[in-house]
Amino acid sequence: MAIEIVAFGKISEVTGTGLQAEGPDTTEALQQWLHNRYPALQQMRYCIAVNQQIVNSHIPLPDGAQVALLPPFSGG
Amino acid sequence: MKKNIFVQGPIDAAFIARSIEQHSSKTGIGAHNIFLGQVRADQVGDTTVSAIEYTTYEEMAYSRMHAIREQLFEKHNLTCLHVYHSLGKVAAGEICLFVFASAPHRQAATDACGEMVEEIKNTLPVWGREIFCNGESQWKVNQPA
Repeated sequence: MAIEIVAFGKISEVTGTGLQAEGPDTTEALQQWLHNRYPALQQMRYCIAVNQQIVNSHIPLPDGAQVALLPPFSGG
Repeated sequence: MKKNIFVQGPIDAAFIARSIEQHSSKTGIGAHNIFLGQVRADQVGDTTVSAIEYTTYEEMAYSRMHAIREQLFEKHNLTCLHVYHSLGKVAAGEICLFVFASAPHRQAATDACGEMVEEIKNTLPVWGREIFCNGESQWKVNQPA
C-alpha cells in the first residue's frame, strides 16, 4: 500500500513538495500519519484531494493513490 | 481535451490584443467581457509587494477548469470563454489573469466572466507567494471579492 503525497503552497514548506507513505489505507489514517510526522500541520488550514478530487469526509485510499495537501487557494 | 490555461510570467497587452482580433471571424458574437487581474503593490508593514510568484497543482487545475467551463456553458448562452493565468513571477503592475467571455448578447458575457473570476479565486488550485521589496515573502491570502 503505497501512497504518493504532493503538497503545495504553505504546506509544502512543512512537508516538502513530494513524499511517500506506506501503510495508511484511509484519508483519516493518512492525516494521522502526517500529523505525527509534521506536528505543525495540526495548526494549519488545508484540504485533501485524492486523485485530484477534493474529499470532504474520510474515504478509503486506493493503492497507488495520489493525495494532495492543498492550503487555501490564492490565485488570480 | 484539458486545455492549458497557464502562461509563464506576466500576460502582455499584445497577447490580449491578438486574442480580441482572433474573434473578428466569429460574427455571431455581439459582446465580449474581459477581466484583467493586475498584481497590486500592497503595503505590508514597512515594505511593499514587488511581485507575486504563482504555483499550481497542474493536473487538478486543468480538470477543475474543464468542469467550471462546462458549468458556465450550460448556464449561459456563450460563444467562447478563455482563461489565461500566470505561473512564476509577475511584478507589481503586470497582468496575472485574463478572462475573456464572448456571447451573442452582453448579459451572458458579463455574468459568465464575473462567475469565472470568482470560481478561479475560490476553487482553482493556484497559490500566490507575495515577494516584498525587502526580499522577504509570504503566502498570499485572497480577499473576498
